[in-house]
Amino acid sequence: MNYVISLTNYIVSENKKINEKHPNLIKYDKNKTVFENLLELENLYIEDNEKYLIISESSKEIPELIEAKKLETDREKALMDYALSVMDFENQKNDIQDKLFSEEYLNKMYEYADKGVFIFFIDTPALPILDNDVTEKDFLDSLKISNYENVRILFSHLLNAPVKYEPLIKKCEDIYSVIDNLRLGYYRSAARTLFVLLESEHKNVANIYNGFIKNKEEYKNGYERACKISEFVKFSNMTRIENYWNKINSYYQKIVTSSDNYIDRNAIVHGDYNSSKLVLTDNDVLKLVLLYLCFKTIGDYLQNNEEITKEILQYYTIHIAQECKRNKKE
Amino acid sequence: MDIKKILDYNNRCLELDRKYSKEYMHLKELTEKVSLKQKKYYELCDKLDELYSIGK
Repeated sequence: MNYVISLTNYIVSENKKINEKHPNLIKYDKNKTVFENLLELENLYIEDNEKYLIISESSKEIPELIEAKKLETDREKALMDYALSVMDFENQKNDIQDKLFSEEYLNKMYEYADKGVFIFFIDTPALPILDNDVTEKDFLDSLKISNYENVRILFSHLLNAPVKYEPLIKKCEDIYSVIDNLRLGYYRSAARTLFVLLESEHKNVANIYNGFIKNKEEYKNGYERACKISEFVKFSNMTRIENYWNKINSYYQKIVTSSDNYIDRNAIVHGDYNSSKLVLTDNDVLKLVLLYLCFKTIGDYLQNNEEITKEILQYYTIHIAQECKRNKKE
Repeated sequence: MDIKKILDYNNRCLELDRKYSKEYMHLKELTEKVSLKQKKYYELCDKLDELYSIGK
């Protein structure tokens, strides 16, 4: 099993050592999806096709492939352990939140969201939003104390992540710059950075599974991306994700389409000659911070699930291919 | 900003934090468990990517 996987991965990675030795024998076709390429390769394997046998034989002389063969078993086990722990976490989180978040509390959260104050990131109902004398302004004010220290704490899971890859490093720099600009009172600069972060997240989430099973699609605008994200949300296991996404999507649409009474992304990013919408307050920026945080929570969840699903699907098809080959021999 | 009001708000948050601390800590433990498994998996992915990219 691990040999088939390592050889498949080796071919998919378009390694020169195989390509130079056997040019055009098995090629990764960029016009086809990842899944189509994988299935074609597996068909050659099931049929004991000559092409596959030649490459299989010659690959046994490649030292890194021999080492990879050993590691692939460990990777598959690590993936399954990781996937099971994610499933367990999601199920327990859903159960806990279903018990803790009352209908009344949820309705208040949606009411806050309609006013641009997104608090969907909370794990437990630990904000006193049901108290009669408390408003969303009190929550925004609570973020401002100690020079916006609470904003930094909201992002601590990202800023203090033990392992950071390049995209996360860049995002953390942007988040620090938002906090610095808030502290200095440069609200438009903070808002511009947040619009970039929001748009980048919008693009990343809309592109999950793109080109994997179906051919790669190009999304022309934010609306098309939002429709795509709505499709993924429908199949998600996260409690209330559809309600959260609908609120986020509706608000985001308003700020990117220059709607009245909303922060105007276009005026701020492009700098209108004479627009009253260029004047921002700290609360306007904090609302964008919360919008980004809640959207990122959903985005990370969907992207994480995509990564696991794609990997498992690849292992699954390879297992099926091996079963087919065994049955064929019998 | 009304500092007294903010302090009162924060105190109410702390009370609720205490009320839900058991559930919060449990979710935190689960998150840490997932992070460890994810880290182990990513380390293996990195090692394999390196092997597959030799000669690329």
